Amino acid sequence: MISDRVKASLEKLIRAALPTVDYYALYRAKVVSQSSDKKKVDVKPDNPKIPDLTAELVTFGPKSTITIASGSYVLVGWDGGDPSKPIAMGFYAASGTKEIARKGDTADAGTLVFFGGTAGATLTYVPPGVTAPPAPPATNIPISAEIDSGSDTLKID
Amino acid sequence: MPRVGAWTADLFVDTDKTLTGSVSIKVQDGTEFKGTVDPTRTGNVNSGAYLRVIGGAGGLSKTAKAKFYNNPTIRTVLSSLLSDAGETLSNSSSSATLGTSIKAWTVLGAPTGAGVKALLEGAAPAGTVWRTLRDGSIFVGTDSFTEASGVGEVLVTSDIPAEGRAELAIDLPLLVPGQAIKGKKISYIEHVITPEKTRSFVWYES
Repeated sequence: MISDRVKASLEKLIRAALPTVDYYALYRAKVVSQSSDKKKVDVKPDNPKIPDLTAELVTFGPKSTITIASGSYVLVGWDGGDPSKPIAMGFYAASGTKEIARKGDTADAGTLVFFGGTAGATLTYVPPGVTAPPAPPATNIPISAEIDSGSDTLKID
Repeated sequence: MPRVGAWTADLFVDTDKTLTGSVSIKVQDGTEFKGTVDPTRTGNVNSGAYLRVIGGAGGLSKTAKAKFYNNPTIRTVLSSLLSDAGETLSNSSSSATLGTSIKAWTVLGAPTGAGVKALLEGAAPAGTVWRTLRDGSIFVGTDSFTEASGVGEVLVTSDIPAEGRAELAIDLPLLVPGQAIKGKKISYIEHVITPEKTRSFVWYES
């Protein structure tokens, strides 16, 4: 069919016009290392058509820095499609397990254990995460706290 | 012959051989055009062979090696791109342009020609062009559009100002883009050589 040949030619033409890789796309890359000032990362992209490179780290907020573990995955691209300005951003979900606290969140500040025996009363502080001695006759007094300050530049609900 | 990019030549050759690889096209006065046969646009017919020749070593369509550079010059990146592709940088290229420093540069695993284009459009001073010369090397620099000399008598057989082009009767295909003819800047030129005559069709810079 002539129309098929025309269509195939058109598809070939379009494929030829579209680059297989370009400076306006983002590519998955593994973080190899991070500079001491936390502003840059050395990465190894998955796509062999993208070289290993050093990219400026775009973090999630102004005046913020982030420490990235080697082996984490990020997206790399080029600011404005400029090959002289590689950037890294968009961290892939990985093995992080600790939640970030916000102002107003409560905190476990440990436990005070009060024991009033015949030899006199004692008061013992047990840090968070450590199991307090069983009561009675001791009395456990949990200490809770509220976070009352936080980052001026990063706010979340 | 474009002002930016590689020149091509479409030839009909009286031969029954299959022509491939590097070729040199010689014209009457000994002027040579060095290029490489494009096999996708070349084939033998009963009476000879149609031949498409691309200026240079044919490496501009090869996939470049992906590389990243910190604080390179244009020469560093370009030399590597061209050398990996088997192409040669012309000695007539602008040293000032090639010496331009760049904060960083990324070469993708894409066609070498696209890499050269991205480098010169993105990092070289405004007005920088690149093209394959007759000798097959690649020139990088700016065009001075000096009046063409030593090309013999030039007769304008047709001039179409509305389209910015003209047809010239000229003995040899010596005019090249980046020159001027009768005060007009040549942007693109097509030399047509037949047994009867030689004509050069020129498109001027707007």
